[in-house]
Amino acid sequence: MTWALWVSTLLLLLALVLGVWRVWLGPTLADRMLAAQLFGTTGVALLLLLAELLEQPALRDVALVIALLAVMATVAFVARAQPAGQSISKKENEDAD
Amino acid sequence: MILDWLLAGALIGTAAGVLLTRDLYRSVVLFIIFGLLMALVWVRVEAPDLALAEAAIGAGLTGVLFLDALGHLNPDKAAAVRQKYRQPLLSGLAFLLALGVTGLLWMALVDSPQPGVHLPEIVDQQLLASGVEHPITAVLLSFRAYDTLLEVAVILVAVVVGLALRFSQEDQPAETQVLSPLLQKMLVWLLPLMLMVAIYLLWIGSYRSGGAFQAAAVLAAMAVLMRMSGTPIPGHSNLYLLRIGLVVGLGLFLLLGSVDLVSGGNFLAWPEGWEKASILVVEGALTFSLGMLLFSLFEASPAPKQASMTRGGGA
Amino acid sequence: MLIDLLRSLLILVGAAFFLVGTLGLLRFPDAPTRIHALTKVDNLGLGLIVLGLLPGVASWPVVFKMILIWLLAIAAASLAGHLVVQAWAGSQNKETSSRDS
Repeated sequence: MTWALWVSTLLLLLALVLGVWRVWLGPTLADRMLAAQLFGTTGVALLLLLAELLEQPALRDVALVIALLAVMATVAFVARAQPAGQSISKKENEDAD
Repeated sequence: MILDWLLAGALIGTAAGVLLTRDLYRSVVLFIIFGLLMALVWVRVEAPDLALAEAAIGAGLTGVLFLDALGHLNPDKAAAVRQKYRQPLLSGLAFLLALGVTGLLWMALVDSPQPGVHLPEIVDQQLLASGVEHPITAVLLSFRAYDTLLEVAVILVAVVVGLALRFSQEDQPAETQVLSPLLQKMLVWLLPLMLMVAIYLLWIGSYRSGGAFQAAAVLAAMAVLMRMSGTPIPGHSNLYLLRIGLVVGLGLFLLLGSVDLVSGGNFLAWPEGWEKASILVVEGALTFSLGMLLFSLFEASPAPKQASMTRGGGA
Repeated sequence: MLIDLLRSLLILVGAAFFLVGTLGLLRFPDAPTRIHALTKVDNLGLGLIVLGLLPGVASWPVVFKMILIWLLAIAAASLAGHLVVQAWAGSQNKETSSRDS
C-alpha cells in the first residue's frame, strides 16, 4: 500500500514538472492559464496523498484551500488582463531566453 | 528522496524562469506555479502552517494581484521594462548586487551560531499556559505576540499608504467584471463555502494548523472574487466602515493586550483564565481586518486603461 | 488485503491519468483541445485517487472534506475551461475581423 502511494506521488510530481514546460512554451496566454489550472488539480492530488503518507491531516486543509482558490487566477485573468487589450490567443513571437 | 530532489529542482527552475523570461505574462504564471511548489516544499519540511499560508497567499492572492497589475500595464511601458533588461551596465550591476546578497546569506547560513536553547521543547513545556493547543498559534499570539502585533501594524501602514495614493488619483477603482452565467451560478455556493472555510481555518488554529492569517487570505480571496464578478459587497463604499474594519484587529489586539497591564501585569499578557477566549477574539478581529487589508491592496489598483480612456484620460 | 490491493490500484491508475493529462497538455495542438486534457483526464485521476484514499480515512467529516475537495476541483476546472475558451474565442474573432477590414 505504502509503496503504491509513493510511486503515485512521484508520478504526480513528474506530471507537475512536465507541466511547467507547457507554461514556458505557451504559446498563447490561454495555454499558460490552463497549465496553471492543471497545476492546481495536480497539487491537490499530491497533497491528499502526502496527507496519508506523512500522517499529517493538516495537509488536507492545504488541499482544500488550493481547490477553493483555484478559480481565482482564471477569473482574474479573464476579468483584468483581457479588458486591457491583451490578446490571449495571440502567439508571442519572442526569443525565449 | 528522488521526490525531494525533483521538487527542489522544479522550484529553482521555476524561480529562474520567473526572473529570466522577458515575457511578463509567462513570468506571472510561472510565479503562481512557484507559489504552489513552495507550498509543497513547506509540506516536505514539515511546516503545514506555512504551506497553508503559501497556498492561500502565494498561489491564490499574489497571482491575482500580479495578473491585475499586468492588465493595467501599458503595453508601451511593458516594452520599456523589457528594454531595461538590455542595458548591460544596469543588469550587470544588479547581478553583482544579487551575487553579493547571496554570498552574505550563504555566510550567514554557514556561520549561524548554535542556539543555546532548544526552542521547540520550551514551547511544548509552556504550551499549557498559553491557552491554545497548537504551538504555532501559541508562539504567534502568546509567546511572541509582540512580533505579530508589529507585523499587523506594518501591514496596516502599507495599506493606508496604498489607499492614500489610490484616493489621490482622479480615476475611480476598476469596474470590469466577468459576465458569465456559469460563474454567477457557481458563486452562489462557492462564496458561502469560502466563508465557511475561513471560519473553519480560524477555529482549528487553536489546536491545529490554521489561524488568522490563513483565514484572512481566504476571506480576502472571497472579496476579490465578489468584486471581479460584480457581486455587491455590503458596506463596500462606506468609508467609515472601511476605516473601522481596517483597524479593528489591531485595536482589539492592543486593547485586550493592555487589560493585564492596567491591573499591574505585563503588556500583551492575556487576562488570567481568559487566555483562549482572548486569543480567539483577537484572532477573529485580526482575520477580519487582515482580510480587509489584503482586499484593499487589490482595490487600490488603478482602473484599466480602457476604462480610464472612456472617462477622458486619467492615470 | 484485497481491499488494500484495490486501493493501491485505484491510486496508481489515478496518478497515471494525471501523467496522461500532462501528456495531453504537451502534445495537443492548441488551447481548446488542451482543455480536454485539463478538465476531463485530471479530474478523473483525482477522483480515482480520492476514491482510493477514502477507505483509509477514519472519520466521516474527513470523508466529506475529501469529496468536497474533489467536487471543488471539478467545478474549478470546468469554470476555468469555460472562461478561458470563451476569452480565447472572443479574441480570435476580434483578430480575424480586424484582419478582414
